[in-house]
Amino acid sequence: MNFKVPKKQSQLLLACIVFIVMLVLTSGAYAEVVFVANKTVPIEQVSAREIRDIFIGEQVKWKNGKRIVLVVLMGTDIHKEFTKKYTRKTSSQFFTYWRSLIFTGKGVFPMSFDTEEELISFVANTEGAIGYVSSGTKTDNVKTIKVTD
Amino acid sequence: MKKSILMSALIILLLSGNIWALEYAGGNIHGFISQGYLDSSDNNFLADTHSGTFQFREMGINYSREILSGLRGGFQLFSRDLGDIGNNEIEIDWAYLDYNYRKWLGVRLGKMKTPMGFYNETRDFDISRVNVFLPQGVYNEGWRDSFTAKTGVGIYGKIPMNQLGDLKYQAQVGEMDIEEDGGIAKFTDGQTHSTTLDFDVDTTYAAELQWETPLPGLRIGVSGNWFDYDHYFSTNDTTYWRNRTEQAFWIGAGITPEEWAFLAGMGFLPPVPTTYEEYQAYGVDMIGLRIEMPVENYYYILSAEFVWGDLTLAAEFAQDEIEYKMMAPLPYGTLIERKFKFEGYYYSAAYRFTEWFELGTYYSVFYPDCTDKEGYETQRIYDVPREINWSKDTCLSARFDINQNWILKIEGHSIDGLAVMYIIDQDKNKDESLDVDKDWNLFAFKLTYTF
Repeated sequence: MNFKVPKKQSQLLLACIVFIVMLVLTSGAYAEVVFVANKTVPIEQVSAREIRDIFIGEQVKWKNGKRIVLVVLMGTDIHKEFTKKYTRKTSSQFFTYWRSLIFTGKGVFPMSFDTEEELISFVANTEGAIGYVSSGTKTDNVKTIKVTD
Repeated sequence: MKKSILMSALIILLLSGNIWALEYAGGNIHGFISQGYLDSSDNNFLADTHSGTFQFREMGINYSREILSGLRGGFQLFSRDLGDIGNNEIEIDWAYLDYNYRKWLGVRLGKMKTPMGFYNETRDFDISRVNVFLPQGVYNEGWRDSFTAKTGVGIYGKIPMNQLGDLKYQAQVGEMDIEEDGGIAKFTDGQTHSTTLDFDVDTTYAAELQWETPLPGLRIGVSGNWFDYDHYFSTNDTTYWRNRTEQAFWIGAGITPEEWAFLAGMGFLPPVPTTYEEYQAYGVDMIGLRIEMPVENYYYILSAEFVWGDLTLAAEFAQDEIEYKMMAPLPYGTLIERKFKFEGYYYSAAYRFTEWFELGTYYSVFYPDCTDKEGYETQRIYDVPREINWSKDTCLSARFDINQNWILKIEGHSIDGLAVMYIIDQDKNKDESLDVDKDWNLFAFKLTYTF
Protein backbone atom coordinates (compact mmCIF):
# COMPACT_ATOMS: atom_id res chain seq x y z
CA MET A 1 0.00 0.00 0.00
CA ASN A 2 1.34 3.36 -0.95
CA PHE A 3 0.88 5.71 1.99
CA LYS A 4 2.22 9.25 1.65
CA VAL A 5 2.45 11.78 4.44
CA PRO A 6 2.64 15.46 3.43
CA LYS A 7 6.03 17.05 4.17
CA LYS A 8 4.76 19.55 6.73
CA GLN A 9 2.85 16.90 8.65
CA SER A 10 5.78 14.49 8.54
CA GLN A 11 8.04 17.16 10.08
CA LEU A 12 5.49 17.74 12.82
CA LEU A 13 5.20 13.99 13.44
CA LEU A 14 8.99 13.66 13.62
CA ALA A 15 9.18 16.55 16.07
CA CYS A 16 6.53 14.88 18.23
CA ILE A 17 8.37 11.55 18.22
CA VAL A 18 11.66 13.24 19.12
CA PHE A 19 9.91 15.12 21.94
CA ILE A 20 8.32 11.94 23.31
CA VAL A 21 11.59 10.02 23.08
CA MET A 22 13.41 12.85 24.85
CA LEU A 23 10.72 12.98 27.49
CA VAL A 24 10.98 9.25 28.10
CA LEU A 25 14.77 9.37 28.16
CA THR A 26 14.80 12.41 30.44
CA SER A 27 12.27 10.97 32.84
CA GLY A 28 14.19 7.71 32.73
CA ALA A 29 17.34 9.54 33.77
CA TYR A 30 15.58 10.93 36.87
CA ALA A 31 13.86 7.67 37.66
CA GLU A 32 16.99 5.54 38.04
CA VAL A 33 18.13 5.53 41.67
CA VAL A 34 21.74 4.51 42.31
CA PHE A 35 22.88 3.82 45.88
CA VAL A 36 26.31 5.06 46.80
CA ALA A 37 28.32 4.37 49.94
CA ASN A 38 31.60 5.25 51.53
CA LYS A 39 34.35 2.83 50.53
CA THR A 40 34.60 1.55 54.13
CA VAL A 41 31.04 0.21 54.01
CA PRO A 42 31.40 -3.59 54.10
CA ILE A 43 28.78 -4.53 51.53
CA GLU A 44 28.56 -4.67 47.75
CA GLN A 45 24.87 -5.45 47.46
CA VAL A 46 21.76 -5.44 49.65
CA SER A 47 18.18 -6.61 49.30
CA ALA A 48 15.37 -4.12 48.74
CA ARG A 49 14.03 -5.05 52.18
CA GLU A 50 17.39 -4.24 53.80
CA ILE A 51 17.67 -0.91 52.02
CA ARG A 52 14.20 -0.04 53.32
CA ASP A 53 15.16 -0.98 56.88
CA ILE A 54 18.31 1.10 56.58
CA PHE A 55 16.56 4.22 55.29
CA ILE A 56 13.68 4.08 57.76
CA GLY A 57 16.17 3.87 60.63
CA GLU A 58 15.46 0.32 61.75
CA GLN A 59 18.92 -0.97 60.88
CA VAL A 60 21.44 1.42 62.38
CA LYS A 61 24.70 -0.55 62.13
CA TRP A 62 26.63 -2.24 59.33
CA LYS A 63 27.62 -5.87 59.75
CA ASN A 64 31.04 -4.77 61.03
CA GLY A 65 29.37 -2.89 63.88
CA LYS A 66 30.09 0.59 62.47
CA ARG A 67 27.22 3.02 62.49
CA ILE A 68 25.22 3.75 59.37
CA VAL A 69 25.20 7.42 58.34
CA LEU A 70 22.19 8.17 56.16
CA VAL A 71 22.29 10.85 53.49
CA VAL A 72 19.31 12.04 51.46
CA LEU A 73 18.49 14.58 48.76
CA MET A 74 15.32 16.13 50.18
CA GLY A 75 13.19 18.12 47.77
CA THR A 76 14.55 16.58 44.57
CA ASP A 77 12.90 14.40 41.94
CA ILE A 78 15.30 11.57 42.65
CA HIS A 79 14.28 11.73 46.32
CA LYS A 80 10.62 11.29 45.34
CA GLU A 81 11.53 8.31 43.21
CA PHE A 82 13.70 6.88 45.99
CA THR A 83 11.02 7.14 48.71
CA LYS A 84 8.33 5.69 46.47
CA LYS A 85 10.37 2.77 45.21
CA TYR A 86 12.45 1.87 48.25
CA THR A 87 10.59 3.02 51.38
CA ARG A 88 6.94 2.53 50.33
CA LYS A 89 6.28 6.14 51.29
CA THR A 90 5.66 9.39 49.48
CA SER A 91 8.29 12.06 50.09
CA SER A 92 6.00 13.90 52.52
CA GLN A 93 5.26 10.64 54.38
CA PHE A 94 9.01 9.97 54.56
CA PHE A 95 9.59 13.44 56.03
CA THR A 96 6.76 13.04 58.56
CA TYR A 97 7.94 9.55 59.47
CA TRP A 98 11.43 10.80 60.31
CA ARG A 99 10.08 13.76 62.22
CA SER A 100 8.00 11.32 64.27
CA LEU A 101 11.15 9.37 65.12
CA ILE A 102 12.93 12.57 66.10
CA PHE A 103 10.15 13.74 68.39
CA THR A 104 9.88 10.38 70.14
CA GLY A 105 13.63 10.04 70.58
CA LYS A 106 13.91 7.11 68.20
CA GLY A 107 16.13 8.59 65.55
CA VAL A 108 18.23 11.43 64.20
CA PHE A 109 17.20 12.88 60.86
CA PRO A 110 19.45 11.83 57.93
CA MET A 111 21.92 14.37 56.58
CA SER A 112 20.28 16.17 53.69
CA PHE A 113 21.88 17.89 50.72
CA ASP A 114 20.51 19.96 47.87
CA THR A 115 22.78 18.59 45.11
CA GLU A 116 24.13 15.21 44.15
CA GLU A 117 27.69 16.57 44.04
CA GLU A 118 27.47 17.66 47.68
CA LEU A 119 26.02 14.29 48.64
CA ILE A 120 28.78 12.37 46.82
CA SER A 121 31.44 14.49 48.46
CA PHE A 122 29.97 13.90 51.94
CA VAL A 123 29.59 10.15 51.38
CA ALA A 124 33.15 9.90 50.07
CA ASN A 125 34.51 11.55 53.20
CA THR A 126 32.27 10.00 55.88
CA GLU A 127 32.84 6.53 57.26
CA GLY A 128 29.70 4.37 57.12
CA ALA A 129 27.76 6.81 54.92
CA ILE A 130 25.17 5.69 52.40
CA GLY A 131 23.00 7.76 50.08
CA TYR A 132 21.59 7.75 46.59
CA VAL A 133 21.95 9.72 43.38
CA SER A 134 20.45 9.50 39.93
CA SER A 135 22.20 7.34 37.37
CA GLY A 136 24.71 9.27 35.31
CA THR A 137 26.15 11.07 38.32
CA LYS A 138 29.91 10.67 38.72
CA THR A 139 30.59 8.14 41.48
CA ASP A 140 34.39 7.85 41.29
CA ASN A 141 35.18 8.37 44.98
CA VAL A 142 32.41 6.20 46.38
CA LYS A 143 31.24 2.64 45.87
CA THR A 144 27.93 1.87 44.24
CA ILE A 145 25.69 -0.63 46.00
CA LYS A 146 23.59 -3.03 44.01
CA VAL A 147 20.04 -3.59 45.25
CA THR A 148 18.56 -7.04 44.68
CA ASP A 149 14.88 -7.95 44.89
CA MET B 1 12.18 30.85 84.97
CA LYS B 2 12.44 27.53 83.08
CA LYS B 3 9.19 28.40 81.35
CA SER B 4 10.44 31.76 80.13
CA ILE B 5 13.74 30.30 78.90
CA LEU B 6 11.89 27.68 76.86
CA MET B 7 9.44 30.25 75.52
CA SER B 8 12.26 32.73 74.64
CA ALA B 9 14.28 30.06 72.84
CA LEU B 10 11.27 29.04 70.78
CA ILE B 11 10.33 32.65 69.93
CA ILE B 12 13.89 33.37 68.74
CA LEU B 13 13.65 30.32 66.50
CA LEU B 14 10.26 31.42 65.21
CA LEU B 15 11.73 34.70 64.11
CA SER B 16 14.82 33.22 62.56
CA GLY B 17 13.20 32.14 59.30
CA ASN B 18 12.99 28.79 57.59
CA ILE B 19 15.21 26.37 59.51
CA TRP B 20 15.40 22.67 60.11
CA ALA B 21 17.26 21.54 63.24
CA LEU B 22 20.07 23.10 65.18
CA GLU B 23 23.31 21.31 65.92
CA TYR B 24 24.98 21.31 69.30
CA ALA B 25 27.83 19.20 70.66
CA GLY B 26 27.48 16.51 68.01
CA GLY B 27 23.73 16.21 68.43
CA ASN B 28 20.59 17.81 67.07
CA ILE B 29 18.07 20.13 68.65
CA HIS B 30 14.49 20.11 67.41
CA GLY B 31 11.37 21.71 68.75
CA PHE B 32 7.84 22.87 68.17
CA ILE B 33 5.38 25.40 69.47
CA SER B 34 1.68 25.53 68.74
CA GLN B 35 -1.19 27.80 69.57
CA GLY B 36 -4.77 26.72 69.11
CA TYR B 37 -8.26 28.05 69.51
CA LEU B 38 -11.26 25.98 70.61
CA ASP B 39 -14.92 26.88 70.41
CA SER B 40 -17.94 24.70 71.15
CA SER B 41 -21.62 25.24 70.58
CA ASP B 42 -22.83 24.17 74.01
CA ASN B 43 -20.66 22.11 76.34
CA ASN B 44 -17.12 22.68 77.56
CA PHE B 45 -14.53 20.33 76.14
CA LEU B 46 -11.63 20.21 78.65
CA ALA B 47 -11.56 24.03 78.82
CA ASP B 48 -13.99 26.91 78.70
CA THR B 49 -14.67 26.20 75.03
CA HIS B 50 -18.29 27.34 75.10
CA SER B 51 -17.01 30.90 75.37
CA GLY B 52 -14.13 30.19 72.97
CA THR B 53 -10.63 29.77 74.38
CA PHE B 54 -6.99 30.18 73.44
CA GLN B 55 -5.99 28.00 76.40
CA PHE B 56 -4.75 25.40 73.99
CA ARG B 57 -1.02 25.41 73.39
CA GLU B 58 1.90 23.02 73.29
CA MET B 59 5.67 23.45 73.28
CA GLY B 60 8.48 20.98 73.08
CA ILE B 61 12.21 21.02 72.57
CA ASN B 62 14.52 18.04 72.36
CA TYR B 63 18.15 17.13 72.06
CA SER B 64 19.51 13.80 70.96
CA ARG B 65 22.77 12.42 69.75
CA GLU B 66 24.51 9.21 68.86
CA ILE B 67 26.91 8.42 71.69
CA LEU B 68 28.43 5.25 70.25
CA SER B 69 27.56 3.03 67.32
CA GLY B 70 24.03 1.83 68.10
CA LEU B 71 23.80 3.80 71.37
CA ARG B 72 21.74 6.95 71.35
CA GLY B 73 20.59 9.26 74.10
CA GLY B 74 18.32 12.26 74.35
CA PHE B 75 15.53 14.06 76.10
CA GLN B 76 12.53 16.24 75.35
CA LEU B 77 11.03 18.99 77.49
CA PHE B 78 7.34 19.49 76.93
CA SER B 79 4.60 21.73 78.21
CA ARG B 80 0.97 22.11 77.33
CA ASP B 81 -2.07 24.04 78.37
CA LEU B 82 -5.57 22.77 77.80
CA GLY B 83 -8.00 24.42 80.17
CA ASP B 84 -6.76 23.54 83.63
CA ILE B 85 -4.73 20.55 82.37
CA GLY B 86 -1.01 21.16 82.03
CA ASN B 87 -1.02 24.89 82.75
CA ASN B 88 2.22 25.33 80.77
CA GLU B 89 4.20 23.41 83.39
CA ILE B 90 7.37 22.02 81.87
CA GLU B 91 7.87 18.31 82.22
CA ILE B 92 10.23 15.71 80.85
CA ASP B 93 8.32 14.15 77.98
CA TRP B 94 10.93 11.50 77.32
CA ALA B 95 14.56 10.98 78.32
CA TYR B 96 16.24 7.69 77.63
CA LEU B 97 19.22 5.74 76.41
CA ASP B 98 18.56 3.50 73.44
CA TYR B 99 20.92 0.68 72.53
CA ASN B 100 20.18 -1.02 69.23
CA TYR B 101 22.07 -4.31 69.45
CA ARG B 102 20.65 -5.75 66.25
CA LYS B 103 17.60 -5.02 64.14
CA TRP B 104 15.74 -7.70 66.13
CA LEU B 105 16.74 -6.48 69.59
CA GLY B 106 17.12 -3.06 71.15
CA VAL B 107 16.96 -1.90 74.76
CA ARG B 108 15.69 1.40 76.14
CA LEU B 109 16.28 2.74 79.62
CA GLY B 110 14.63 5.84 81.06
CA LYS B 111 11.38 7.64 80.36
CA MET B 112 10.06 6.45 77.01
CA LYS B 113 6.88 6.69 74.97
CA THR B 114 4.30 4.01 75.64
CA PRO B 115 3.05 1.85 72.75
CA MET B 116 -0.74 2.03 72.97
CA GLY B 117 -2.32 1.79 69.55
CA PHE B 118 -0.51 3.04 66.46
CA TYR B 119 -0.52 6.73 67.33
CA ASN B 120 -0.02 7.12 71.08
CA GLU B 121 3.75 7.51 70.86
CA THR B 122 3.49 10.42 68.42
CA ARG B 123 0.43 12.13 69.87
CA ASP B 124 2.36 14.99 71.49
CA PHE B 125 3.76 15.81 68.08
CA ASP B 126 1.18 17.67 66.06
CA ILE B 127 2.82 17.41 62.65
CA SER B 128 2.55 13.60 62.59
CA ARG B 129 -1.16 13.65 61.70
CA VAL B 130 -3.87 15.52 59.85
CA ASN B 131 -6.19 15.95 62.86
CA VAL B 132 -5.99 18.40 65.72
CA PHE B 133 -7.44 15.80 68.09
CA LEU B 134 -6.87 12.09 67.65
CA PRO B 135 -10.13 10.08 67.77
CA GLN B 136 -11.26 10.34 71.39
CA GLY B 137 -12.79 6.86 71.37
CA VAL B 138 -9.29 5.41 71.58
CA TYR B 139 -7.02 8.37 72.42
CA ASN B 140 -8.77 10.18 75.25
CA GLU B 141 -7.28 13.66 75.43
CA GLY B 142 -7.76 13.98 79.18
CA TRP B 143 -5.83 10.79 79.95
CA ARG B 144 -2.96 11.69 77.64
CA ASP B 145 -0.67 12.95 80.44
CA SER B 146 -0.71 9.58 82.12
CA PHE B 147 -0.71 7.25 79.13
CA THR B 148 1.92 8.92 76.99
CA ALA B 149 5.10 7.62 78.67
CA LYS B 150 6.59 5.20 81.16
CA THR B 151 9.79 5.39 83.18
CA GLY B 152 11.54 2.06 83.26
CA VAL B 153 13.06 -0.39 80.83
CA GLY B 154 11.89 -1.59 77.44
CA ILE B 155 12.92 -3.91 74.64
CA TYR B 156 12.01 -3.68 70.97
CA GLY B 157 12.88 -5.16 67.63
CA LYS B 158 11.83 -6.28 64.20
CA ILE B 159 11.77 -9.93 63.15
CA PRO B 160 11.71 -10.64 59.39
CA MET B 161 9.28 -13.40 58.41
CA ASN B 162 10.31 -13.70 54.75
CA GLN B 163 7.21 -13.92 52.56
CA LEU B 164 4.94 -13.17 55.51
CA GLY B 165 6.31 -9.66 56.04
CA ASP B 166 7.86 -8.39 59.29
CA LEU B 167 6.88 -8.60 62.93
CA LYS B 168 7.75 -5.65 65.17
CA TYR B 169 7.50 -5.86 68.93
CA GLN B 170 7.88 -3.68 72.01
CA ALA B 171 7.62 -4.52 75.71
CA GLN B 172 8.03 -2.15 78.64
CA VAL B 173 7.90 -2.30 82.41
CA GLY B 174 8.00 0.78 84.59
CA GLU B 175 6.08 3.55 86.27
CA MET B 176 3.50 5.88 84.81
CA ASP B 177 2.63 9.35 86.10
CA ILE B 178 -0.89 10.10 87.25
CA GLU B 179 -1.16 13.71 88.33
CA GLU B 180 -3.54 15.06 90.97
CA ASP B 181 -4.65 17.76 88.50
CA GLY B 182 -4.68 15.51 85.41
CA GLY B 183 -7.47 13.99 83.35
CA ILE B 184 -8.00 10.81 85.43
CA ALA B 185 -8.42 12.95 88.55
CA LYS B 186 -10.85 15.30 86.77
CA PHE B 187 -12.91 12.38 85.47
CA THR B 188 -13.22 10.75 88.90
CA ASP B 189 -13.73 14.03 90.77
CA GLY B 190 -16.63 14.89 88.46
CA GLN B 191 -18.34 11.53 88.80
CA THR B 192 -17.79 11.08 92.54
CA HIS B 193 -18.34 14.72 93.54
CA SER B 194 -14.96 14.71 95.28
CA THR B 195 -11.50 16.22 95.22
CA THR B 196 -8.46 14.11 94.43
CA LEU B 197 -5.81 14.05 97.14
CA ASP B 198 -3.22 11.63 95.86
CA PHE B 199 -2.37 8.69 93.57
CA ASP B 200 -0.18 5.73 94.37
CA VAL B 201 0.74 3.93 91.14
CA ASP B 202 2.09 0.38 91.06
CA THR B 203 4.48 -1.00 88.44
CA THR B 204 2.88 -0.97 85.00
CA TYR B 205 3.42 -3.11 81.93
CA ALA B 206 2.99 -2.46 78.21
CA ALA B 207 3.48 -4.58 75.11
CA GLU B 208 2.84 -4.28 71.40
CA LEU B 209 2.99 -6.54 68.36
CA GLN B 210 2.84 -5.03 64.90
CA TRP B 211 2.62 -7.12 61.76
CA GLU B 212 3.78 -5.42 58.58
CA THR B 213 1.94 -7.65 56.14
CA PRO B 214 3.20 -8.71 52.70
CA LEU B 215 0.60 -6.36 51.22
CA PRO B 216 2.55 -3.08 50.91
CA GLY B 217 1.14 -0.39 53.18
CA LEU B 218 -0.97 -2.69 55.37
CA ARG B 219 -0.04 -3.12 59.02
CA ILE B 220 -2.01 -4.73 61.82
CA GLY B 221 -1.27 -4.43 65.50
CA VAL B 222 -2.29 -5.33 69.00
CA SER B 223 -1.12 -3.54 72.14
CA GLY B 224 -1.86 -3.87 75.82
CA ASN B 225 -1.28 -1.89 78.97
CA TRP B 226 -1.74 -3.24 82.47
CA PHE B 227 -1.70 -0.84 85.38
CA ASP B 228 -3.00 -0.58 88.95
CA TYR B 229 -3.20 2.44 91.17
CA ASP B 230 -4.72 3.62 94.43
CA HIS B 231 -6.69 6.82 94.08
CA TYR B 232 -7.30 8.83 97.26
CA PHE B 233 -9.96 11.51 97.28
CA SER B 234 -11.93 13.60 99.69
CA THR B 235 -15.74 13.62 99.71
CA ASN B 236 -16.15 17.37 100.01
CA ASP B 237 -19.31 18.01 97.93
CA THR B 238 -21.54 18.36 100.98
CA THR B 239 -24.89 18.24 99.14
CA TYR B 240 -24.07 15.03 97.29
CA TRP B 241 -22.34 13.21 100.16
CA ARG B 242 -24.95 14.27 102.72
CA ASN B 243 -27.44 12.33 100.60
CA ARG B 244 -25.00 9.44 100.23
CA THR B 245 -24.65 9.22 104.01
CA GLU B 246 -28.09 7.58 104.18
CA GLN B 247 -27.03 5.04 101.53
CA ALA B 248 -23.79 4.32 103.41
CA PHE B 249 -25.65 3.91 106.70
CA TRP B 250 -27.94 1.23 105.32
CA ILE B 251 -25.06 -0.61 103.58
CA GLY B 252 -23.30 -0.65 106.96
CA ALA B 253 -26.41 -1.62 108.92
CA GLY B 254 -26.79 -4.78 106.89
CA ILE B 255 -30.60 -4.66 107.14
CA THR B 256 -33.28 -2.70 105.29
CA PRO B 257 -35.19 0.23 106.84
CA GLU B 258 -38.29 -1.99 106.86
CA GLU B 259 -36.48 -4.69 108.84
CA TRP B 260 -35.17 -2.04 111.25
CA ALA B 261 -38.70 -0.69 111.68
CA PHE B 262 -39.98 -4.21 112.44
CA LEU B 263 -37.28 -4.78 115.07
CA ALA B 264 -37.90 -1.30 116.49
CA GLY B 265 -41.57 -2.19 116.81
CA MET B 266 -40.55 -5.30 118.82
CA GLY B 267 -38.47 -3.08 121.10
CA PHE B 268 -35.11 -4.51 120.02
CA LEU B 269 -33.90 -1.34 118.26
CA PRO B 270 -34.46 2.39 118.67
CA PRO B 271 -36.64 4.23 116.09
CA VAL B 272 -35.57 4.15 112.46
CA PRO B 273 -33.01 6.94 111.75
CA THR B 274 -34.13 9.19 108.90
CA THR B 275 -32.00 12.33 109.01
CA TYR B 276 -28.36 13.10 108.33
CA GLU B 277 -27.87 14.07 111.98
CA GLU B 278 -29.30 10.74 113.15
CA TYR B 279 -27.00 8.77 110.82
CA GLN B 280 -24.14 10.91 112.13
CA ALA B 281 -25.09 9.96 115.68
CA TYR B 282 -24.45 6.31 114.71
CA GLY B 283 -20.95 7.31 113.52
CA VAL B 284 -21.79 7.37 109.83
CA ASP B 285 -20.89 10.60 108.06
CA MET B 286 -19.76 10.61 104.44
CA ILE B 287 -18.79 14.26 104.28
CA GLY B 288 -15.06 15.03 104.32
CA LEU B 289 -13.93 11.40 104.33
CA ARG B 290 -10.70 10.24 102.77
CA ILE B 291 -11.77 7.51 100.37
CA GLU B 292 -9.33 4.95 99.03
CA MET B 293 -10.12 3.61 95.59
CA PRO B 294 -7.88 0.79 94.31
CA VAL B 295 -8.25 0.55 90.52
CA GLU B 296 -7.03 -2.23 88.23
CA ASN B 297 -6.86 -1.66 84.45
CA TYR B 298 -6.35 -4.09 81.60
CA TYR B 299 -6.25 -2.01 78.44
CA TYR B 300 -6.11 -3.53 74.93
CA ILE B 301 -6.09 -1.92 71.49
CA LEU B 302 -6.45 -3.62 68.10
CA SER B 303 -5.16 -1.52 65.19
CA ALA B 304 -5.11 -1.62 61.41
CA GLU B 305 -3.71 0.89 58.94
CA PHE B 306 -3.51 0.86 55.17
CA VAL B 307 -1.45 3.42 53.28
CA TRP B 308 -1.87 3.52 49.52
CA GLY B 309 0.03 6.41 47.99
CA ASP B 310 -1.42 9.58 49.47
CA LEU B 311 -4.41 7.79 50.99
CA THR B 312 -4.32 6.56 54.59
CA LEU B 313 -7.10 4.44 56.06
CA ALA B 314 -7.09 3.39 59.70
CA ALA B 315 -9.32 1.73 62.28
CA GLU B 316 -8.70 0.92 65.92
CA PHE B 317 -10.69 -0.72 68.70
CA ALA B 318 -9.89 -0.23 72.39
CA GLN B 319 -11.22 -1.89 75.48
CA ASP B 320 -10.27 -1.31 79.11
CA GLU B 321 -11.40 -3.73 81.78
CA ILE B 322 -11.57 -1.80 85.01
CA GLU B 323 -12.11 -3.11 88.53
CA TYR B 324 -12.41 -0.72 91.43
CA LYS B 325 -13.55 -0.46 95.01
CA MET B 326 -14.41 2.61 97.05
CA MET B 327 -13.22 2.05 100.58
CA ALA B 328 -14.14 4.44 103.37
CA PRO B 329 -12.66 4.59 106.87
CA LEU B 330 -15.92 3.28 108.30
CA PRO B 331 -16.53 -0.01 110.14
CA TYR B 332 -17.84 -1.77 107.02
CA GLY B 333 -15.19 -0.32 104.71
CA THR B 334 -16.21 -1.02 101.13
CA LEU B 335 -18.91 1.28 99.73
CA ILE B 336 -18.92 0.22 96.10
CA GLU B 337 -17.18 -2.61 94.28
CA ARG B 338 -17.56 -2.62 90.51
CA LYS B 339 -16.12 -4.28 87.46
CA PHE B 340 -16.85 -2.80 84.05
CA LYS B 341 -15.34 -2.17 80.62
CA PHE B 342 -14.94 0.91 78.61
CA GLU B 343 -14.93 0.57 74.88
CA GLY B 344 -13.99 2.84 72.01
CA TYR B 345 -13.34 2.56 68.30
CA TYR B 346 -13.00 4.67 65.19
CA TYR B 347 -12.60 4.57 61.41
CA SER B 348 -10.57 7.23 59.67
CA ALA B 349 -9.46 8.31 56.21
CA ALA B 350 -6.98 10.95 55.13
CA TYR B 351 -5.85 12.04 51.69
CA ARG B 352 -3.00 14.37 50.80
CA PHE B 353 -4.07 16.25 47.68
CA THR B 354 -0.89 18.30 47.28
CA GLU B 355 2.38 18.84 49.13
CA TRP B 356 0.62 21.55 51.14
CA PHE B 357 -2.96 20.32 51.58
CA GLU B 358 -4.40 17.25 53.30
CA LEU B 359 -7.96 16.40 54.25
CA GLY B 360 -8.98 13.88 56.90
CA THR B 361 -12.12 12.54 58.50
CA TYR B 362 -13.05 10.07 61.20
CA TYR B 363 -16.02 8.66 63.07
CA SER B 364 -15.20 7.85 66.66
CA VAL B 365 -17.33 6.16 69.31
CA PHE B 366 -16.63 5.99 73.04
CA TYR B 367 -18.51 4.22 75.85
CA PRO B 368 -16.92 4.80 79.30
CA ASP B 369 -18.96 1.86 80.61
CA CYS B 370 -20.05 -0.52 77.89
CA THR B 371 -22.15 -2.55 80.33
CA ASP B 372 -24.34 0.57 80.58
CA LYS B 373 -24.30 2.12 77.09
CA GLU B 374 -27.60 3.93 77.68
CA GLY B 375 -26.29 5.41 80.94
CA TYR B 376 -29.23 4.55 83.23
CA GLU B 377 -27.09 2.78 85.86
CA THR B 378 -24.47 5.54 85.92
CA GLN B 379 -27.22 8.13 86.26
CA ARG B 380 -28.67 6.22 89.23
CA ILE B 381 -25.34 5.73 91.05
CA TYR B 382 -23.68 9.08 90.44
CA ASP B 383 -26.63 11.41 89.80
CA VAL B 384 -25.27 12.59 86.41
CA PRO B 385 -26.98 12.89 82.99
CA ARG B 386 -27.10 9.50 81.27
CA GLU B 387 -25.62 11.05 78.08
CA ILE B 388 -22.31 11.04 79.94
CA ASN B 389 -22.06 7.35 79.01
CA TRP B 390 -21.58 7.71 75.26
CA SER B 391 -19.96 9.87 72.64
CA LYS B 392 -20.27 9.58 68.84
CA ASP B 393 -17.99 12.04 67.12
CA THR B 394 -17.88 12.83 63.38
CA CYS B 395 -14.82 14.89 62.54
CA LEU B 396 -13.52 16.66 59.44
CA SER B 397 -10.00 18.11 59.41
CA ALA B 398 -8.00 20.19 56.94
CA ARG B 399 -4.25 20.57 57.20
CA PHE B 400 -2.18 23.17 55.35
CA ASP B 401 1.60 22.78 55.23
CA ILE B 402 2.58 26.38 54.68
CA ASN B 403 6.24 25.38 54.47
CA GLN B 404 8.39 22.74 56.15
CA ASN B 405 8.22 24.65 59.45
CA TRP B 406 4.65 25.94 59.63
CA ILE B 407 1.39 24.01 59.55
CA LEU B 408 -2.17 25.17 60.04
CA LYS B 409 -5.07 22.88 60.96
CA ILE B 410 -8.78 23.57 60.96
CA GLU B 411 -11.18 20.99 62.33
CA GLY B 412 -14.90 20.57 63.01
CA HIS B 413 -16.65 17.98 65.19
CA SER B 414 -20.30 17.06 65.39
CA ILE B 415 -20.81 15.08 68.60
CA ASP B 416 -23.71 13.11 70.06
CA GLY B 417 -23.19 12.45 73.77
CA LEU B 418 -21.01 13.80 76.56
CA ALA B 419 -18.51 11.04 77.30
CA VAL B 420 -15.42 12.83 75.97
CA MET B 421 -15.80 15.81 78.30
CA TYR B 422 -15.66 16.20 82.05
CA ILE B 423 -18.60 16.95 84.33
CA ILE B 424 -16.35 19.19 86.38
CA ASP B 425 -15.80 21.54 83.39
CA GLN B 426 -19.50 22.13 82.72
CA ASP B 427 -21.57 25.17 83.56
CA LYS B 428 -24.48 24.74 85.98
CA ASN B 429 -28.07 25.89 85.89
CA LYS B 430 -29.65 27.85 88.73
CA ASP B 431 -30.97 24.62 90.27
CA GLU B 432 -27.39 23.24 90.30
CA SER B 433 -28.13 20.76 87.48
CA LEU B 434 -25.58 20.55 84.68
CA ASP B 435 -26.08 22.95 81.77
CA VAL B 436 -25.18 20.48 79.01
CA ASP B 437 -26.56 19.58 75.60
CA LYS B 438 -26.57 16.04 74.20
CA ASP B 439 -25.83 17.17 70.62
CA TRP B 440 -23.03 19.67 70.25
CA ASN B 441 -20.28 20.91 67.93
CA LEU B 442 -16.62 21.64 68.49
CA PHE B 443 -14.39 23.80 66.30
CA ALA B 444 -10.60 23.65 66.56
CA PHE B 445 -7.90 25.77 64.97
CA LYS B 446 -4.18 25.16 65.48
CA LEU B 447 -1.04 26.77 64.15
CA THR B 448 2.23 24.92 64.72
CA TYR B 449 5.85 25.80 64.12
CA THR B 450 8.29 22.88 64.03
CA PHE B 451 12.01 22.86 63.49
